[in-house]
Amino acid sequence: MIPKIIIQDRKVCSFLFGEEINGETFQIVRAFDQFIIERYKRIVIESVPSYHMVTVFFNKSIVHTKVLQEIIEAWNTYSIHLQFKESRKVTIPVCYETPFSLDLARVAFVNNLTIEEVVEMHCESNYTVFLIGFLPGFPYLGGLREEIYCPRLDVPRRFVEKGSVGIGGKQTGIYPIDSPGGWNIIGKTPIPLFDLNRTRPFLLQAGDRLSFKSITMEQFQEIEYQLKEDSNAVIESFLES
Amino acid sequence: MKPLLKVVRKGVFSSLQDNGRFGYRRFGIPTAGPMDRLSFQLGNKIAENTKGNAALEIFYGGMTFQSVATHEYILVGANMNATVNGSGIEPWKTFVLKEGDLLKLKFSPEGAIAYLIPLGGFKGEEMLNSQSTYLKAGIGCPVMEGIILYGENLPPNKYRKGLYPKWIPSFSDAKEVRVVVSHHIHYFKDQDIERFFSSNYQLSAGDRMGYCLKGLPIHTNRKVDLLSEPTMFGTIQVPPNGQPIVLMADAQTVGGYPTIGKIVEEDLWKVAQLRIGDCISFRKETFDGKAIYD
Repeated sequence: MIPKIIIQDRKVCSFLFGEEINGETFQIVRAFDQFIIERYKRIVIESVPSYHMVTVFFNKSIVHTKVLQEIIEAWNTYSIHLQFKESRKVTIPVCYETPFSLDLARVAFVNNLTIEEVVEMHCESNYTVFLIGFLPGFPYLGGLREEIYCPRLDVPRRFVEKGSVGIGGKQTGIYPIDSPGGWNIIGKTPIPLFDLNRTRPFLLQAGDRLSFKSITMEQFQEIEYQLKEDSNAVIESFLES
Repeated sequence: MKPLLKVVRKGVFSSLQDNGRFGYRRFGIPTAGPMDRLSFQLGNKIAENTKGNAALEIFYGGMTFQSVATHEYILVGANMNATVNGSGIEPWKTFVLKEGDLLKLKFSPEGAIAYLIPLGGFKGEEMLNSQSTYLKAGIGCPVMEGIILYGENLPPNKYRKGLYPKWIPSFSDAKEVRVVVSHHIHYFKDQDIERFFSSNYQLSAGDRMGYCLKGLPIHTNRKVDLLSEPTMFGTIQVPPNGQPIVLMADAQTVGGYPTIGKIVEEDLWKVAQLRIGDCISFRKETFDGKAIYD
């Protein structure tokens, strides 16, 4: 698929692959992101994949040059034999009990479900990390079941604890750091998504497959304890490639 | 590494910034780095620092330091009318502080940001390959009264160096900056786009994340529901109230508001140096003689 080229500045350009959230478009975005990083290392500082677009920061001017044309031609040849890379699978343990599940009852009430049903539906889906942004390491997840969509809070909370798992409209996500926020908080994970002291500071990357696993308060505390002992080992145990 | 300066008065806001943090935008970490890259780079060049050494970026002045070692510095960017032990020093020219000397920055008559750069740069903690402060992610620490700033153990040079006065960037009011038109341009009303490129906008509030502008409002033709997409330093977002926001060095890496364009990299220093109340105007950048999305 030939992307639409959007010049952002002399050294910045976006490649647009569609206009909506779509699994196939996103696979192409991922593949193009890999392609540009691997093939154009010499001239690319970094690239940012999102739902439908890859934005590329070059280390030299790309206007009045043949660079973009070359990229598109190379991509055209490359993408004929495109094989989508297997995604990593990440399982995030979440405790849906009080005091973490501040708005779980609201989500259940709005959707005419029991609390148990909401938790079950939240854990049953397979999610895709489409994009990371808004906060350092914050994943925009696609794949939330329609039955548990829930409008954002009318008045955002001034403080949402890091690790909180929320539902905001049609999306679900995890707060990587303490932050103000307007999503319905339904639980909390003991796994830090973002930790500068870790070998792998960011747990998630765009393209990961993600699922939630319900844990009890005792298990939550047990994982917290293990993290204190050896956070790198615990993190690896939740990643499966 | 040696202790260089003790912060006696912390002023309005300052932070340690090096060349920037590259490669982490995909994880939601902005580049950070200097707001006025032109002054930052010139300052480091005069100090003969290899490109990208850490400087203290100082908003609006009002800072006092006590020197704890003999070291050579340069103060560039907006003129903060600095004094050493009460006597004025020339901006954009290196100077030496001895142990016990008091360096005072007053307030700038024009321009908002100054960079204090020691020979060899300041030494902060390196996180994700950069010393640039980004407090939101817990990177770096706030500059408080009583803290010590560290640097390289380098002796002062024999001679002082500076920039020819005529080469010093001018930070006076009424600036025009070039804008690459956004691919969202079609969402906006034609007459509003016209107005945007022909009237002045005034800085109403701002920090390292974004500069809020006030002027004739710009509206979209209809309510647009956009997918979040990558943003960058210089992106001009237009929220529903129609008042543009220029995303700055610490801005979030993705955004969902429609954008009218991006200020070209070469002009970002002009925006960074705006003071509250200063005006700015925009001109379409036409890389090859015609606008990109006409």
